[in-house]
Amino acid sequence: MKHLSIFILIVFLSLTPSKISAQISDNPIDVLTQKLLQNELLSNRFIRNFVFIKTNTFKKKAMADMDKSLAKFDDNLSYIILHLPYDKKAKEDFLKLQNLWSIYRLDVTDYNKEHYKKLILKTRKLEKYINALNKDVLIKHPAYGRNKKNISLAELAVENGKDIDKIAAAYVLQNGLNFPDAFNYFEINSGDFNKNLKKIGKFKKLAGKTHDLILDLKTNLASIMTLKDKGKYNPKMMYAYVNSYSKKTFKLLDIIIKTIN
Amino acid sequence: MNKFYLILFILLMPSLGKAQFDDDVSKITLYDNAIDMKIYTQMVAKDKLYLIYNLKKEQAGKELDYAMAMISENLSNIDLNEDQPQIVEKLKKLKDVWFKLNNRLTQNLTPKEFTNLFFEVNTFDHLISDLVVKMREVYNLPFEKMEKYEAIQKLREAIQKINLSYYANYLGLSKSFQHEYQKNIKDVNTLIKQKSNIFLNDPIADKSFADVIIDWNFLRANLLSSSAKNPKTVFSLVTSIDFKLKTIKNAYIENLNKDF
Repeated sequence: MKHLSIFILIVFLSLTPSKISAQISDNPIDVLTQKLLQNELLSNRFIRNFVFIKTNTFKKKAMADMDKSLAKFDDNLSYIILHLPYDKKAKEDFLKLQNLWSIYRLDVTDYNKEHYKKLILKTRKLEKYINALNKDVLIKHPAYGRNKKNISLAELAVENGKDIDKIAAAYVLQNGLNFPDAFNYFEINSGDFNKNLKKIGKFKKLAGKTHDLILDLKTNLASIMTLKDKGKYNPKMMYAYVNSYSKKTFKLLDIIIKTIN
Repeated sequence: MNKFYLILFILLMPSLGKAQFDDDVSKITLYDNAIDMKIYTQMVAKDKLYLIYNLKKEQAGKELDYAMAMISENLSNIDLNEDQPQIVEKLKKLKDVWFKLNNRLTQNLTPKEFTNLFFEVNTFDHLISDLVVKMREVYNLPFEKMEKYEAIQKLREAIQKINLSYYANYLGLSKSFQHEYQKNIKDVNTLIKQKSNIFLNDPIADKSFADVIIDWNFLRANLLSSSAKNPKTVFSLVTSIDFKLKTIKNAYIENLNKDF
C-alpha cells in the first residue's frame, strides 16, 4: 500500500507540472488578453449598431458591422472557453456568460422592437459581467505580473472605445429615437478620454508606434464631442466619427497587445 | 480523428476570426471613395452658399449634413484600410484640412466669409486630386474597364460645379465664377453628346441615363435662357441628375468589384 501511494505521488508529481505548463503554453497571455479585451470593447458596439440600424443611418454598413461584431464575439468567447482548463471556476463563469450572451444576442438583433431601456440595462449588465470576469481571469494568469502595466494600458484603450460607443448610442437614442435623457442611462466616464490616451502614448514600449494613431483618436474625439454638444443632430456624421474611432481603438489595442509576452 | 479536427479548428480559429473582422475593402472601393469625396466637396460648398442666402434651406441643410458625413466616412474608410506610406502621407494632410473645413462648415457664415470658405474648399479639392493621382500610380486597377465609371463621376462633379458657379454668379459674388460656369456647361454638354450612345446602349445605364439627358436638356435651357433663371429649379434639377448618375455609378462599381 505504501509503495502504491509513493508510486501515485511520483506519477502525480511528474504529470501535474507538465500538464499545467502545457495548458499555460496553450493559453499565451497575449492571445488571451486580446480575446478578452476585444469582447469587452465589443460589449457596447452592438447597441450602437442597433440604434443606427433602427434610424436607417448607413443601415447597410451598420448591419454589416453588426454581423461581423457578433461573429467576432462568438469566436472570441468559444476560444476563451476552450482555453481555460487551468481554472474551473473561470470556465464555469464563462459558460454563464455564454448563456447571458445568447439571450442578449437575440435582443440586440430584434430590430422590430423598441425595447431601448431594456437593451441599455442588459448592455450594462453584459459589460459589467465581462469586465469582472476579465479582471479575474487575467490576474490569475502566471504571466500577468510581468505584463501588468501593458494590460492596464490596454484596458484604458478599451475603456475609451466603450465610452465612445455609449455616447453614439445615447446621441441617436435621445435625438433620433425619442428616448429623452438617454445619456443618463449609460455610465460614461467622458472626462478621462485624453488622459487615458496620454498615458498610453507615454508608455516606453510603444514609443513611436502609436503617435499618429493617438493623434487621430484625439482629433476624432474632438469632432464627436463637438457634434454631441453643439445640438445639431447629424446621425450619419456621428456614425462616420464613431466607426472610425472604434476601429482605430481596435488597432491601438492590437498594438498594445503586441508588447505583451 | 475528431480530436484532430477539433485541434485544427482551435489552431485556425484566431486567424479565421481576424480575417472575418478586419476590414477588407477592395482598392476599387477605396478609389471610388476618393473620387466621391471630390463630388461631395463641390456639394458642401454649394449647399453652404444656398444656406447663407436662405434659399432651399431645408434641402440644402439636409444635403450638406449628408455630404459632410460622406466625406468623413469615405476619408476614414480609406484611412482605416490603407497602409501604403505614399497614400498615408497624402491622407495626413487631407485629414488635417478636413478637420478645419468641417468645423467651418458647421458655423454660421456671412456672405463675405464664403469667399474664404471657397478657398479652403478648393485646397481640399486639390488635395483629394493629389490623392487620386497617387492611387492611380500605386493601385493596380483595371483602368481600361473603368472608362464609363470615370465619365459618370466627371459628369457628377461638373454638374455640382455648375450649380455652385451658377448661383455664385447669380449673386454676383466674383467674376471668376463666370469662367468656371461657362467651362463646366461646355464640359457637361460635350461629355453627354460624346458618351450618350455608349450609355444608352449599356444595359446598366440605359434607362437612368435617358432620364439624365431629359433633366440635362431642361437644366441647360434654364441656365441659358436669361428669363428662366431660377436658383431653386437649378438646385432641384442638379439633385435629380446626381441621384440618377449616382445610381449608375454604384452599379458600375458593383460590377467592377465582381470582375476584379
